[in-house]
Amino acid sequence: MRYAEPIARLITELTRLPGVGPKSAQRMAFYLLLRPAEDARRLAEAIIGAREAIRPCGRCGNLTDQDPCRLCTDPERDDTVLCVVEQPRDVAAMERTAQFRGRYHVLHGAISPMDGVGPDDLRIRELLERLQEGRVREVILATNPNVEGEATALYLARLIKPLGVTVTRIARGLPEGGDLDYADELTLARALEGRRPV
Amino acid sequence: MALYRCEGVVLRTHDLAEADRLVIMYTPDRGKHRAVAKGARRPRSRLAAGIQPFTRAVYLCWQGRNLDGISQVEVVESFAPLRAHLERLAAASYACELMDAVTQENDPQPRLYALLVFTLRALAEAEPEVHAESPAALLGGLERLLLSFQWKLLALTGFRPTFDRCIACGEPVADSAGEVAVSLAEGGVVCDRHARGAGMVRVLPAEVTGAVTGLLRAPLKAALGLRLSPGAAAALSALTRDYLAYHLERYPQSRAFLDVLREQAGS
Repeated sequence: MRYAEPIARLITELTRLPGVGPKSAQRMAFYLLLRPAEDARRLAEAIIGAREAIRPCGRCGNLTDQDPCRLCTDPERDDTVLCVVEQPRDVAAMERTAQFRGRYHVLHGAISPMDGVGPDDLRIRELLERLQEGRVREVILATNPNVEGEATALYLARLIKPLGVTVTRIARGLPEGGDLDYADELTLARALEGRRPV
Repeated sequence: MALYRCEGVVLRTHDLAEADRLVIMYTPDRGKHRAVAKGARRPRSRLAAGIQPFTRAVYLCWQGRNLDGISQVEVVESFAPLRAHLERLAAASYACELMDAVTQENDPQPRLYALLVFTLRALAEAEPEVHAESPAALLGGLERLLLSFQWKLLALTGFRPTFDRCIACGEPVADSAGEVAVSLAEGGVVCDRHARGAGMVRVLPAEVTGAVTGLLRAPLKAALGLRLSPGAAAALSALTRDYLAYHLERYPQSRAFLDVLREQAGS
């Protein structure tokens, strides 16, 4: 059945969202159409409001509504430790731990040779400029523990070490509450490598 | 749900849906093979480690309607050094991207699989020359291994060049002042008489065609001992790049990152 043009357009737009197929898009569209008009207006305004107000922080690259962002201007945070992550959502993940009180730097991607993403496509120049200001004593490389994240961490470590800054990599090993018997060999090997005295 | 086992090497992965990964592997029994690893991006996934690029493993897969899935992984060789050193990682990415480009699904070629495994093993184990533990020395060795891999790959996929006689008339070709004419289009050397009509002709030091013949005859690791004059080495790199690009009609994007590393090592 062919939908009226406005419905078809809404479904097409919703299908563009990640993880949303035609069936889900159709369900969402009808949900929105059958709710009070005010609900749809609020959602549309939230999308437009966020899209217009949010931009990358000029300093750390995190998404923010004020530049520099709150994480960069918070006087309670430690200027000497800088955590480098791939994406803005990784900042949110680190913040959820409530363990890290330093500053962040978002690369907006990771080196991926096969996809043609090289160092020049990331915010590496901005990172080096921040380090040259001389306040940072330690850089924590918190890129993903996969091939692209590893390539990025290795590349950054090589660039940063000659600047006299300590470079560390987040630990890898067993997940909290996990079962040793169910761990794969590589993760177990990494966990053994990174063992600590108790 | 029908299950089957297959051995393979992961060429690359793509993120799929919320927490899945699409794994593209090369297998000796099925050729290039695609399968989804459900939930592999979650930290507790048992599949995550075994589906990292360059890993050689035995996979227990289930047959899906459109796409098969991976249910268990047993790692045979993880090739961990390929992910722990930048130069090795760049070289392995190049090799895997090339394999992905030249192979097809449901077209098993066990000799290609063996070449890939030998290459990844050699790239993981290659040692920098004695007293020269620099990225430049390591990169030089890896580049020589990649040269051998590329020519062997071309030979196995039907593009073996002919360098011992003219590709057009079959007559022996005498090099003039140490140089020979190679036609990329014809796939070999051409004599003076046929050089004019042949496509994409490059005039190269005879040392270069000799080196390619040597690489094709010798085991992969012998490439580490390849010694050429600087001019011939550059000409061999250019010939390999052009020959590959002409016959495969594409060129791996990973080359750019290898070039970045080479520039940095040289500076």
